[in-house]
Amino acid sequence: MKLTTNSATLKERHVTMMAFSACIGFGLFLQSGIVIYVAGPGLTVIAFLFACSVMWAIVGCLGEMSALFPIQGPLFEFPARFIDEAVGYATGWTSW
Amino acid sequence: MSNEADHGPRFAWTVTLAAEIMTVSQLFRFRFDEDYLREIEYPDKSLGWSTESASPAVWVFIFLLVAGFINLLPVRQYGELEYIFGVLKLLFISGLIFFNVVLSALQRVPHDSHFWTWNKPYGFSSKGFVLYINSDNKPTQIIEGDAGRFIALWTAVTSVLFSLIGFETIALSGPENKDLEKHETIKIATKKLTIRITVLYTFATFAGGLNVPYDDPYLAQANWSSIRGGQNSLFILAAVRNHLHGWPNFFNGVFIFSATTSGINSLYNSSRILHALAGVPEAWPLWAQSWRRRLERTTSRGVPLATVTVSWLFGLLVFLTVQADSALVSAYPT
Repeated sequence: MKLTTNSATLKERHVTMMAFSACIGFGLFLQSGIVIYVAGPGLTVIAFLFACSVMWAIVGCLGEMSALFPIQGPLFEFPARFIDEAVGYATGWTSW
Repeated sequence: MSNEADHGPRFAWTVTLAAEIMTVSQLFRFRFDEDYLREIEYPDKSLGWSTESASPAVWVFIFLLVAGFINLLPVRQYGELEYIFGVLKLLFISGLIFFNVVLSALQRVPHDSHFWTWNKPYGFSSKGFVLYINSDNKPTQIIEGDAGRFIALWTAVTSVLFSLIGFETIALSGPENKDLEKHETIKIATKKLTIRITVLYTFATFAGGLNVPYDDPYLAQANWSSIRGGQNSLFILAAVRNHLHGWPNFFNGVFIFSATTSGINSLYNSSRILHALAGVPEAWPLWAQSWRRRLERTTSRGVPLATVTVSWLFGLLVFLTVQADSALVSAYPT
C-alpha cells in the first residue's frame, strides 16, 4: 500500500507564521518605494490601507468558509463544490 | 515597461519561486552610484558589495538548492523552521519602523521640518503619472492634474496588492493542520494574519516615507528598470540619506534572507497545490493517470517528494535571467 496522505502535524502558530513569511518577501521592501514614487507618501499610506482592506475581505471569506466546511485543499475544493467542478480544477491548475 | 511588469510575474506559485530567487540574485548586485553618494554628501566615496562582479547564476544555484533541501524536511520540522523565520521577520519589520521613526526624530541631516518629505511639494500626490519612458530612461509623457492623481492611486493599489500575495498559505496547509477540525482555527489565523500585515505594512511605509523624498532617483529607477537591487529599497535609502554606516549592508542582508524564506514558502505552496490536485483523478486526462498516481505518493513522514521535485524544476527558469539583457524574459508574462 502506497502512502498518499500528508502528516497533519502543524499547529495554528506554525500556519499563521508560514503565511506571514510567505507574504513578506522582497515585496514590502521594494514595493513601498515604488508606490511612494508613483503616488507620494500620503497617498501611499491610503493605498496600503485600501489594498489591505481588499485582502482582509478575501481572507475573511476564506476563513469563514473554512470554519464552516473544514475540508482539505479548500482553495480549489470550494469553487468545485459551489460553482462547477471544471472551475475548481481550473483554479487549482492556474494557481499551481 | 508598465508598473505591473516590474515586480516580476506573479500568477502561479511555481513562477513565484523563480521570481523570489531572481530577486535574491539581483540583491547581490548592491552598489550605489558614486555621483549619487556625492550629491547627498555621504561620508564614504563608495557603498556596495563586492559580490556584484560574481555571476548571478552562482546565487541562483545556491539558493535554489537551499529552497529544495528545506522543503524535503518533514513538515513538522519545516513548520518549526518557518515559524522561527517568520518571528525573525516580524521582529525585523518592527525594528525597521522604530528605526525610521528615530531617524526622522533625530534629523541627522537637517531639514526644514520633521515632515519635510510631505511638505515638498505635497504629500498626497506626486507631480504626475509617468506614462511613457524613452530609451534614455527619461519620461516623455506625463498625465497631470486630477486624472493623473487618480491613475497614480489606482496604480499604487494594484502594485500593493502584488506584494500581499501569500496569505492563501493558511488554506493551502489545511491537510497538514492538526487543529483544522477544531472550531474556528483557520478563522482566528486569518484574523491574526490580516491585522499583522496591515499594521506592519502601513506603518513601515509611513515611517520610511518620512525619510526619503518621493522623487529620489533610485525610487524612480525601481519603477522602470528590470534590474533592481537593495539600492532601490526605501529603507536602505533612508539609512544612506542619513549618512549611516553599516546599516545599509545589514538591511540588504536581511532582504536576501527575507526573499529566500519567501521563495521556500512558494515552493511549499506549489508542491502542496500539485499534491492536492493529484488526489483528484477527474482533474487529469486519462493518459496522465499514471503520473498522477506517482505524484500522489508521500514518504512515511508525509512529504510529497515527487511534487516537491516537479515544482522545484520550475525554479530552474531563473537561469533565463542570469544575463543582463534577458531580464526582459522574466518580465514578459505580465
